[in-house]
Amino acid sequence: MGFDEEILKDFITEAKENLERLDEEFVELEQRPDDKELLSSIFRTIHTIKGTAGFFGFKTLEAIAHFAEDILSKLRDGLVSVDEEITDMLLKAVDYIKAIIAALEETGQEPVDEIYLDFLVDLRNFADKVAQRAKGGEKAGQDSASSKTAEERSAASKDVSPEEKDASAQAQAEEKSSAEEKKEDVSSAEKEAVQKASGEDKAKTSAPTPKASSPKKEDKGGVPHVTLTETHVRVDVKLLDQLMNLAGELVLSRNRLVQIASRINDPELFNASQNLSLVTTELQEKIMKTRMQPIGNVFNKFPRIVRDLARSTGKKVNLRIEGADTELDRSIIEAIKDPLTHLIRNAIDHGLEDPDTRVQVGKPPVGTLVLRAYHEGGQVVIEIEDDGRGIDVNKIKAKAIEKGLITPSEAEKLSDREALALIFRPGFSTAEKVTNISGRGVGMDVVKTNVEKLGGNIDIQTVLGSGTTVRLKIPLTLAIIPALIVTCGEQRFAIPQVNLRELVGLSSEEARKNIHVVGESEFYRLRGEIIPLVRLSKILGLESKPVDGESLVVLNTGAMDFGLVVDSIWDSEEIVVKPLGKHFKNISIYAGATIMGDGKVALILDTVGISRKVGLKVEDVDRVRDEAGVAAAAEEEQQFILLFNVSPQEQFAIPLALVARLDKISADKLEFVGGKEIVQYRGRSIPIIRLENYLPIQPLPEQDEYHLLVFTEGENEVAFLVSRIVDSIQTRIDLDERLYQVEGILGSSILKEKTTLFLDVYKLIEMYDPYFFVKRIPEEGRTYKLLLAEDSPFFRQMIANYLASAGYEVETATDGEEAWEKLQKDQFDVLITDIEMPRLNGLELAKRVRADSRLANLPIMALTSLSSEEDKRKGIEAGIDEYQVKLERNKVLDALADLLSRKYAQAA
Amino acid sequence: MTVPAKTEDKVLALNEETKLFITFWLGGFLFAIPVEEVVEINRSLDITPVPLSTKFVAGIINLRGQIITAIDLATHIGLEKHSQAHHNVIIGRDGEPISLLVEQIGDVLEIPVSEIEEPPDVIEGLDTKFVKNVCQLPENLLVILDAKLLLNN
Repeated sequence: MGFDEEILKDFITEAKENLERLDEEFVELEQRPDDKELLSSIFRTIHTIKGTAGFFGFKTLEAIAHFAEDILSKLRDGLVSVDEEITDMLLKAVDYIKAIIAALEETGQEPVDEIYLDFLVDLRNFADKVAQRAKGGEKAGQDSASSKTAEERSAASKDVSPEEKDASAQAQAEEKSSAEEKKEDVSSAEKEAVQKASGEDKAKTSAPTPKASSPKKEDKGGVPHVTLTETHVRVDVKLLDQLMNLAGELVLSRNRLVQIASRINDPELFNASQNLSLVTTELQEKIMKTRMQPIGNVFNKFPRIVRDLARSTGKKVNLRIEGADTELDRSIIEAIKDPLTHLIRNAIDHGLEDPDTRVQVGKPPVGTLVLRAYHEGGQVVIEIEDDGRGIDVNKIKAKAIEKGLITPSEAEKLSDREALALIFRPGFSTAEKVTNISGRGVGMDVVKTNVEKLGGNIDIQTVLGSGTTVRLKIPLTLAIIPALIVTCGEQRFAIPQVNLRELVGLSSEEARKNIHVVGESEFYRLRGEIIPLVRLSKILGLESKPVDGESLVVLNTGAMDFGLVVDSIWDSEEIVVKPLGKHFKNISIYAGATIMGDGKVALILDTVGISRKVGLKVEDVDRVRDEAGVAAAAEEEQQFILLFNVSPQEQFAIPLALVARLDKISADKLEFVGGKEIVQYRGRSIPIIRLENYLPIQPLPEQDEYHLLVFTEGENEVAFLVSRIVDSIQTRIDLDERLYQVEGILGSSILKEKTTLFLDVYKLIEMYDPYFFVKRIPEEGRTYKLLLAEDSPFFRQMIANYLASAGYEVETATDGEEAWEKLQKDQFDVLITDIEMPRLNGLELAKRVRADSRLANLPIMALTSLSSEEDKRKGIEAGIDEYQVKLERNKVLDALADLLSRKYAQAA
Repeated sequence: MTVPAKTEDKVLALNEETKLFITFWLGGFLFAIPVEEVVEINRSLDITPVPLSTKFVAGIINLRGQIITAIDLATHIGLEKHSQAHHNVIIGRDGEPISLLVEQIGDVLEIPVSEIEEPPDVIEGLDTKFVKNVCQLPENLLVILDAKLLLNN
């Protein structure tokens, strides 16, 4: 529907423009009645209106345009020549057309009024007359009296040559005989015909209209005076691009001014700059809007493509388009056309089965292909969904092995998701036979590259036998993007925020310990994950000049993470992307350039380009992970800890892994609504927890800016409001539990030479909102009793708390030996154990449990700080059912519920 | 720096066809580019080097919001010796402009078409590929560069 409206809008805009021009052209025509060019132009305009009106089913409009066109065609062919009367009539027709267009714009429907029908009759009669004149070959100039009586006409026709007399006499006769009844006769017949034609809605409403319009009716010969007001203006795309550029410049100047204002610290200047800032942002948004186009502009090309493809492949396809009015930047619309076409081809060629096969597997013979677009979190999501055969992961693996992309042993290790990602490797094509449709050498790797070039990403979900969904996520605009500014060799570079995962300081000794050198390459251990390290200075051939220790920017290419070592990290900024000249086209590591607040230029780095240039491969990372796996065990209990202040005197810590996001907000974003303090954040309201309300600590001082630690659980979000983030460090947690025995505090430790309180995030959130966490016990009406063996008090409390808040009854043990004793005495539904423990470790404990006939069926879940394939294998050998990472609360709870329902469903 | 001879003006016959040239100094040579090829002349602009780029590319500059490529002209045309070039001669009226880095801007010269000659095969200390014409001035040889070739290469 929305799409039709869009076309109608276009039609109206175009018609209005053309009609304005028609006015001028008709006046010109009177002066130059023989100008063929002019006549043709007028004819074309009317013809277009007629055609479009017919397309939309606007009968009255179509009829008026039709008769006007009739008259014009006679003029154009030189059968009659223009006179004042004809011009009058045609101008009247234009006025009626304008009136109808105006009504269309207002209501979307043709106006229902007798005057249009009356005029239509007049016009029709007039057109007939003109036609007769043309037939009679009369000199139009002499006979300007077409509407005069038949007598006059016959008088005029006396001058006609004998040869023509026949024809004209016939015409006369007709004229004469109809002269009297004409008005009633023809007009009533016409009226009927037109009324019939203009559809049922007219019939419905025609009764009350004559009365309403009676005053107008008296002025029958008069024309409805309508001036079409311009609501749409056509603007050169170049002008829009220039406006966009200027808006970009304005953003930069604004950034600079804001910087200066914050330095000078003058309240008046500050206010002025803030005002400017707001207006600039709004202006930028509005200008961006002018470049927005509905994605339907691309989508509407597909019904035809799909139809042709379906025919040539002998398949039956029903294409459904959803969200065609979703808007995005026109440059992006252009750029996604080819990738989308390729994906649709793939879906029909590889995805959908032929009708026979479909019927055999119990599907309707007609396959469904859905093309869907919608907005999500500042991005546009485009989905191509088919209900075909799905992608067979094993086939993909086999193909990849055959093509030499991976080895059989690597294939075995791949998860389904990783295997699906093989499709995007260059040189991969699953089509068993190369068809003329999709097997033409342009593979999914090209699609992926193109999508990534736009700053987007691509994701495939497939269910074997029931279909595949390809999902593209694309930014709304390319022109202005948030970016992180880093330096290397005293030069600044911008990194698009979309690729950014996290930042790690490399200044501390502990952080540097995580760098592993394997051969020529460097790798970094990030919370148990191994990622390759790339030194920006090395790539660029610059001399690294770190100020105080280097920093690591963890980036994601879509396929993998890697760490980029830079000299320092500045800030994140909105930047305006400007293209680089042709001299740099072959350097893939730059995505463009931008002008900084100080007027200097900085290059924008292309994350994917860098990873390509360095030749990063997922396999290398796997290899290193295996090699480094042995060394990893020793560092097991090392955790990333976030240090922060509420009041400046007291330092607090929580594991970084628990935090969903960190952010800064200004004080004016805080609101007190309905007894709750909330903050507006990314267009949503998030409840705020002030820690001093729940803990015996110093209150948060008033500040202009606060830091937010955001936590999520499913759809739920909540944030701690704190004054300052001190640091994030990696350390082994030695917790002292004796000093603070307060709910919400796990214990204390000395970090960075300060006594630091470790907070129990789960407990605090539960104190704030007991319903925040979703209860996740597998079955209602039964309490599951868990035994948790964990030597670290920090983890023991934390895990016990989140298990309890999920609805379990939790008993704890400080090591394997104690757990064993408890297992002897009491009945438990599940054992959850750490691996590294004094006296009796997790693996030994599991073996002992399995060896005991009474406990042989007890479900066992192991929790560790890291999980490598090797560890998992050992665990499974020892009899452990599930293997999870301690701080991944969601996964632990899901896996636990799963494990319990599996075990106890079997038993029941 | 010697100003190209003023006497030229006097020599000009009234009706003789002439061409206007922007002149500049680089590596001891006096170069010229037809006025109509030149967008503007700018003093020292901040150049941001672009690592990994071709040798003759000096970097990118911000020309009132437009990013343009700065060409190290001396390296590009194979000048053997030259000193720091800070001035920008920006060429390319249609399409993508580039900035040529030069040592010093000279005068605008009006030169009779009849005095513009084909370049010799060899000019000492210079790659003649980019030389379109020459013109013998009283004190110097004026080397007229091929702006189109510079823009497209």
